[in-house]
Amino acid sequence: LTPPTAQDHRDWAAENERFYYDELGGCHSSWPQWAMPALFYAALHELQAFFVDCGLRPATHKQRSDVLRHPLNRATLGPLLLQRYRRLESLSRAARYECVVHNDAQFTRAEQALEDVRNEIRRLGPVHLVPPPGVPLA
Amino acid sequence: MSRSRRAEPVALIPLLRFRAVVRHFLGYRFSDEEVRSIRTVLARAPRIQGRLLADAFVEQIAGEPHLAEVWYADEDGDPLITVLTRTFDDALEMRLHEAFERLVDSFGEPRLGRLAIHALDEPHPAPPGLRLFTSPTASHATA
Repeated sequence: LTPPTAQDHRDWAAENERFYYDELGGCHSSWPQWAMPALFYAALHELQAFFVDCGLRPATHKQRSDVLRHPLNRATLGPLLLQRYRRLESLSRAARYECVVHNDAQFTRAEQALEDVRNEIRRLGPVHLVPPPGVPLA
Repeated sequence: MSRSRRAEPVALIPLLRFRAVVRHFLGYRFSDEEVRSIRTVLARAPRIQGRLLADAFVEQIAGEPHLAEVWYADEDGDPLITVLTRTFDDALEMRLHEAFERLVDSFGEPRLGRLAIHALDEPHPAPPGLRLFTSPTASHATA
């Protein structure tokens, strides 16, 4: 088995987003407990594609967070990518574990956060990122 | 004996940074002897650093508008700081994240803790742990 490529992760992100809009019904979904995680996992795979392009392959939420929060990486990436990803992660966690049913405004902000994550990744292009201890290289 | 005790590795806040943080936020300068005592306490109770982080964070953001409450919980040794704002504010969310990451940097541990931000006027989980701060202008928010 070969590990997924950056393009594989981008395709997976697109599938998650399609699932959110087409199958779950977007912000008016009857299954909000799945709608928010679908948006978050779209962002996660966009981020993972970016990391693979940058030569890293974090394997857990903690490792992705470690890469984003490393002081040198934050200087390279700027604040927006981390903050928008954090927003999606927090909303998804609340839906998955805390039974929170989010409102339209929160879904709209989550959709915008996913768009911002994509735009930031596109703007940055592949960059040199410092691998924190334990994070595998791609 | 004291020589070998000083040589023990302590994988906690680097003491110089800890000293600087305490001096910055509390205006107090520790003596060498006190620092050695603190080092001993921290070595025995590493979760103290999470609470120190939370207290320092509250100090830093207490003047923020729209801030309602700050809560602290220990998640298996990692601090979780939950901030409740009166209403959602994009710029405030950004400032809180930046303040949190700057503070974590000052503690010398780049992977310390997690920050969750929720608006009181929107669906949100109940914050776990201990309430550290209630804004004097947001008394309606407290149960």
